[in-house]
Amino acid sequence: MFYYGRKMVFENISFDIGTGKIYGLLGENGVGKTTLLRIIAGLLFPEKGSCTVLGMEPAKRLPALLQEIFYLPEEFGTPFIKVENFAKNTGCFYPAFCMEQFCTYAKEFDVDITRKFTELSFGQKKKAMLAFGMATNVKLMLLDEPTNGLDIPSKTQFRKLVAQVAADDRTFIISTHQVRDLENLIDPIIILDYRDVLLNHPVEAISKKLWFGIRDKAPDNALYAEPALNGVYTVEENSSGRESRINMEQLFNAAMMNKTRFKQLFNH
Amino acid sequence: MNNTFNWQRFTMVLRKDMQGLSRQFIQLAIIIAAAFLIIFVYTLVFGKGYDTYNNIRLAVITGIFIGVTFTAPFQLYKRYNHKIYGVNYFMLPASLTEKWFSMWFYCGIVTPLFIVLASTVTDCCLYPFYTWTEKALWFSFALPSVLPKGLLTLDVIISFFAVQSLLFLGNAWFQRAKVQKTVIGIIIFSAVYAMFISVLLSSAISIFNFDLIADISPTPDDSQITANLSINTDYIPTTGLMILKFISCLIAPVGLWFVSFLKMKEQQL
Repeated sequence: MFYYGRKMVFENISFDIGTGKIYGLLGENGVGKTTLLRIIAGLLFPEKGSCTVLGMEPAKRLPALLQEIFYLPEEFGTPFIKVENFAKNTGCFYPAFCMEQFCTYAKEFDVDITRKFTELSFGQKKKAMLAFGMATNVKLMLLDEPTNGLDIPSKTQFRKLVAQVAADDRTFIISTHQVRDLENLIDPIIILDYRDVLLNHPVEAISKKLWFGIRDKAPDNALYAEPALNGVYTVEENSSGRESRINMEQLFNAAMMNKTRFKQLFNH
Repeated sequence: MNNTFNWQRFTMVLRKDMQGLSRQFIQLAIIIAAAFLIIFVYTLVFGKGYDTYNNIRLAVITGIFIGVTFTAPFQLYKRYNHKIYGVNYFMLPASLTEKWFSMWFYCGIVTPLFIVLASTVTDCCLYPFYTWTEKALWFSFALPSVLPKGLLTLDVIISFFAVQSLLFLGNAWFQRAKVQKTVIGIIIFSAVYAMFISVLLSSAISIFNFDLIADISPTPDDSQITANLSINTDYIPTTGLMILKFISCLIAPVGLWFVSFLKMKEQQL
């Protein structure tokens, strides 16, 4: 259970995060995506219940856990120093940090690490922090809207990098509204609702239960329909077991419009 | 892994903090050097003597010393518990103890020493240009005169920590409008503390010196009153003031530091 002032954000929610996966955390504004990330990072404490990360309580902020977590918020502060100096003096706190990797990732992101943070644009600062985060080689990366502020080539680069550094012992939780930026990257998908979790399933499980496609006319039992130039995009229950490619945005819209049905479909 | 305190990790925190704070310390050194230079040029241009130079310089450095050291927690660590800017600090893989001690070290130890050092270095740089006949030997001139006489007594150092501990707590307690809220907090705290002290002192008077005080009122002679009063002030406060001093200079600062530590532990961003 978690309150923001008097407003209850989470109530009776319970879910597990597996290792070696790239989770996509979706939800409307204000449902608590950032709050959830901050609870996992140990920056916020749940009033009731518990949150355990790698067998430790994040709220205790133990160095043993902190050195395995990297959290990049949507808005973040940077020091008044050169990027490379920041990486050197902060990287030493992370046992698996690799300066060479950092230089490589920064180069791939086209960030000049000899410049001060104050001389960089917001997008460049974000790329520098992302490169640093990847180079820490921590077990849990928490990224809040990582593609916000990135230009199109950088978004592509970000996807490539995440795919490149993803490992069996490394978990990413990426909160985003820009689902199209990360469509081919995230799996499983978590959809948060007010005080609740609507969905926490791998892409494969979702595509077994839902069908995404184009029809001339939306069927009556469609969970979601969206007119397009060449017909109507629909999301339907996959009763015949057909294979389809998940459209993240349509999935999210379908979930928002059919909350009860989604819970029945996926939580039972 | 020791999750409470590790010396190697602590030195890394010190180094990292220094990296972030170096800009502020450089600015401080420039302010001190500029202030001394302006005073020096002023005294030369207007043909003032060494005493004028020294008096102005002492007044300025005292002002800087008090202003900067007391407000050091705000100057150096203002953003550490900020919802956006504080995330990096709290997510840094070091223990709270290490972070707190680093903060305390820079505010309570490094800042005052840095002011003394910067003043001394500036003095040393200006020394060859002194035209006054009073000029003394290099360090005997520079060091003792950097700070006003008596500033480095134990009592003053303890009092300095006592005042700074209040501001240290204010910096940890509040997330927004820290300075304003801390000032209001100190005013309220001072009022409550003054009431507590007055109760303490009146208790001490009633316990230790009730008869002596009673002697004062019937005495018509002013000098006699003064004499009795001097006896009272010598006698009563000895115990009372010792307790008061102990509370003010030791218990209170340590308590406030501990509360600031706990606040940091419970801080949510």
